[in-house]
Amino acid sequence: MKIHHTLISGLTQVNGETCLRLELHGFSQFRPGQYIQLSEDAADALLPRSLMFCRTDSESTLFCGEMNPLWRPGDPLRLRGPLGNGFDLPAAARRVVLAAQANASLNPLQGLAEQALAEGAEVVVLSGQPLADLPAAIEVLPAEELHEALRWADFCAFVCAYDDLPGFARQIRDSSLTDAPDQACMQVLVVTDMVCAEGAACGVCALPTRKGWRLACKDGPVFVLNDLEVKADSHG
Amino acid sequence: MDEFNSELGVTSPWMNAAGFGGFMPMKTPHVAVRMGAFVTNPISLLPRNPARERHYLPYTGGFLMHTGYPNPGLRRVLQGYAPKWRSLSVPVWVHLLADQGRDLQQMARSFEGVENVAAIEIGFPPGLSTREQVNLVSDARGELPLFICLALDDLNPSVLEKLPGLGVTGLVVSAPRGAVIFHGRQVTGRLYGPALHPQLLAALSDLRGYELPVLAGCGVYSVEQGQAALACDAAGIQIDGWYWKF
Repeated sequence: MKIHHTLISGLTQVNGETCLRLELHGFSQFRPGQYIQLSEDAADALLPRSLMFCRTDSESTLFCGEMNPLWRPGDPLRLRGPLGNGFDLPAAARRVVLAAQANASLNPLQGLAEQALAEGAEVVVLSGQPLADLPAAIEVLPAEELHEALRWADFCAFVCAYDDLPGFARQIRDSSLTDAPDQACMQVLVVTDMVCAEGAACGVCALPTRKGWRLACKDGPVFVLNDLEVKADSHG
Repeated sequence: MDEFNSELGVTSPWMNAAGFGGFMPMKTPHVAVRMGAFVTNPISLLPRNPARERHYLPYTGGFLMHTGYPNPGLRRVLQGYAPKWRSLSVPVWVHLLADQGRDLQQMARSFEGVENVAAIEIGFPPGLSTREQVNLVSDARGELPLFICLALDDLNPSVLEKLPGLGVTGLVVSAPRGAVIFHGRQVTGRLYGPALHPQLLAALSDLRGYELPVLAGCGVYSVEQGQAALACDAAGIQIDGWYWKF
């Protein structure tokens, strides 16, 4: 895969999280849920970092995730991407619910929110945190409204840390109703360390699915919730 | 050491460490050295799932990683990759995982005659006695040159002194095991990174008396660190996390 040389054009606060702003020219279109790898020359940067696509502004692209706190505007970086499989928003989706589990950021869903709005869908975000940086057309509801939101939605997208998947699965199961969207219409971006990013199939980001073990870096990080082999009662 | 490498068809002393290159080499590795061989991910007789708990935990100077070495097993590796290995410009060293001598023997024999497979490398599971390690080496011995991976923290003299007599071609000093505290509990795994470099050089010095070619299989994160290891009589360099940088 081609390596792109780029400079950090800015660091921007988005919903309380510092996001990286890059000006990328001649680049493939990012799909929400995809990620990039960034490599730098600093001696203490042992491995590339994986950052999630957040959204595209007029001239630049925002990425979120675990930054190097020493990064400053103007710093040079090398970039590989887009990587992984992103969200697959059905063309027929008209009522979209987006939510991030505790310990996860909503920002990887920003691009999906914009896509859904552009395609004429209504978008509801569930959040326990105040969110300052969202399009005005989005309705924000408390996270406790999950049950009602699932009844209303015809497509749901979530962000969840790998370790929180069992609790998340339990929450969905407890909230599921006969008229809630099929779990096939629920997609989840699993936040986990993706260190080799397809390079070696090292297995750090392996996930159990109904089709066997899959790698978040290559087969995800977005999965259909129904495909994940998560035992809702295995933890906590 | 040039003689050692030319006997093995290795035209550069640099190669990747097992677990860092997958089953096919990168088309254009981004490290600033020419690779002389390709070392496969660890291969077990049967398909092997990832460890129940997998970790990547960075710390100052390095990182701990634990994956359980998931792999599709011998049969699928042979089916999927042996035809592709033929056309590679570098020789392939297959890394085998086994704690049973019979399994190891079967795997080692399976690679004899596979075109462009030039050597076998074996790694031991943790906790084996000296006798068990020596027995596994005996079982792995076949027609292909044999390299034994011993962790930097497990260079046991009573094993080392037996290796030349068992027909072992060389030794790889591989990543040591260690532990870090994560979410209040101890997590174990292999340690990687440049912080191991001083220990690697000390080990290379200590291993001079065993009359075995020694490959530096950890603690190399730059050309300079690799050259330092070569200057300390390493016959080759296997790079781990550095291989993933670009």
